[in-house]
Amino acid sequence: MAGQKVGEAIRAVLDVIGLGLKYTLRPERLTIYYPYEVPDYMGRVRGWIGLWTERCTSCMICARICPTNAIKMYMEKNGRRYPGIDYGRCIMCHYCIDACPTYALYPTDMRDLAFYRHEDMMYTPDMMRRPPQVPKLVPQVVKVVHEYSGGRVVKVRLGEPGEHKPLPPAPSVPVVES
Amino acid sequence: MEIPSWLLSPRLWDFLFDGVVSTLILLTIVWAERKIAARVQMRVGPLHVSPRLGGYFQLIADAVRFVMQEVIITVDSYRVLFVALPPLFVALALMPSFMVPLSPYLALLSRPSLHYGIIMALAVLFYLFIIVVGMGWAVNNRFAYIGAAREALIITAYEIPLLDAFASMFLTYRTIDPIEIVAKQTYIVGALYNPLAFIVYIIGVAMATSRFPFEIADYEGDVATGPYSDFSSIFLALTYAGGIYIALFSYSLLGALVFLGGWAPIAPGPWPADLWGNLAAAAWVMIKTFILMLFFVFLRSVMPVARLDHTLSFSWRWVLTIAVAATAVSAAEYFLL
Repeated sequence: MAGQKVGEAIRAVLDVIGLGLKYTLRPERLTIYYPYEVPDYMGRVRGWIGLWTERCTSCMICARICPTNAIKMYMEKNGRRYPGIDYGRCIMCHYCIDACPTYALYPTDMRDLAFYRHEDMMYTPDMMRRPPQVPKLVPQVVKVVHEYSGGRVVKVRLGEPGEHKPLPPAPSVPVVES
Repeated sequence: MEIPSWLLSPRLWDFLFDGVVSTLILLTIVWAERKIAARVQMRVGPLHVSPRLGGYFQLIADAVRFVMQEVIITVDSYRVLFVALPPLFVALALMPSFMVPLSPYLALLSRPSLHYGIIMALAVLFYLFIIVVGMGWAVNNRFAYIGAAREALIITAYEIPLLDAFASMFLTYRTIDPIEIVAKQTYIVGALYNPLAFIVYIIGVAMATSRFPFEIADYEGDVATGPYSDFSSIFLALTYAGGIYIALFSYSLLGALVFLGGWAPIAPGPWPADLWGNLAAAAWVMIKTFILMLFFVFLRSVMPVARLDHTLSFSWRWVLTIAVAATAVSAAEYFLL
């Protein structure tokens, strides 16, 4: 009221009511309604980290370079040490993968990690060999992405709703030419 | 088959219709408030409980949660009023809707007292927010004190203009009888007779039931729901989460009768005088009430929260002026029409 003309105030009130009515009648929802909709990162994402123990030389460079000290080297039965990641600490920076001299650690795009207890977040080397399996939550899943359209953000569906696909099995060790 | 006479009693049907329909309207209005706010804020709102109905049963789930929650009475509170005031709040909030007729024949009160129905309803509704101040005193913490003080100041701000708006309409209609008031709105509704009074009514009810932008006494961002801040479970459902919507329902019902033409039919000609005609008239009143309530809860999604001093100065400087102007318009209509 103070320092504001009466006409301006009335016009502002009418404007905002009109805007609210517009959005009430034609909503533009941006919420990604997980798990019915999942965001599509198009591969540009750092996710869960896998391990091929066959390649690991136990050099511990990954444990040393980890900025959050998330990697601990576990002693296995064959007398060698393999990395295990604490996902309560991991910030998914993938420095360990960049630093690994034998490509024993490999990246994935799995971001949907959830744990019931803190102990479940401590991955041991044998757990790191196999990607975590996401249970089937809903029958139909659709991928969505946020896009700019006409200067504003809108939610776009990529394709039709499809079956929930289980994650692929653990990749086998690729052959590398030395 | 002979229908027993008590089954055709207008009082019974008025009581049943008002009770059942007001419950349905309250559930729908709380759901609509959440869905409208979600739509304006680009969210989805309640959906996961009953996705086909748009999450309507979320309200039932919330009600079950409120009822099953543990009742906590804080140590510092004044126990008697802490327990007694929430039921009194709901009783006083719902009582006005039983004091006004829903059709020419459906009414709980009979003639001499029905004549003063709207006056009595207004009197009861103005007692309602003294109870809110009492709750703030009974709850006895700092947020409740601040909220109660704010509520007391807000009462002074809305009470006179709101009363003045209704008095202007009584002056225009030359009567206070609700049935005659509706009969005079057959072609032109009261909001067109006196638009200024209608504006004052809208602002006054938004202040009285603490709708946005006047949710000051119980604004969660400032005072943690103010006078209701220590209520839990059923007490919260009776006051902040439910009772205040019942008060909104009662105010909207009065507004529908006085300003929106009540059961005055769309096409000229009276409703049929049998039971179905009366129920249809009552349903038409309830539709108008629902639309008014929908507007009040819609304000939550688009309005900011005004400051207390701004609200008081706005009310005493502008709303009171508009109310006096509305009285002048009504006086002109009283002498000219």
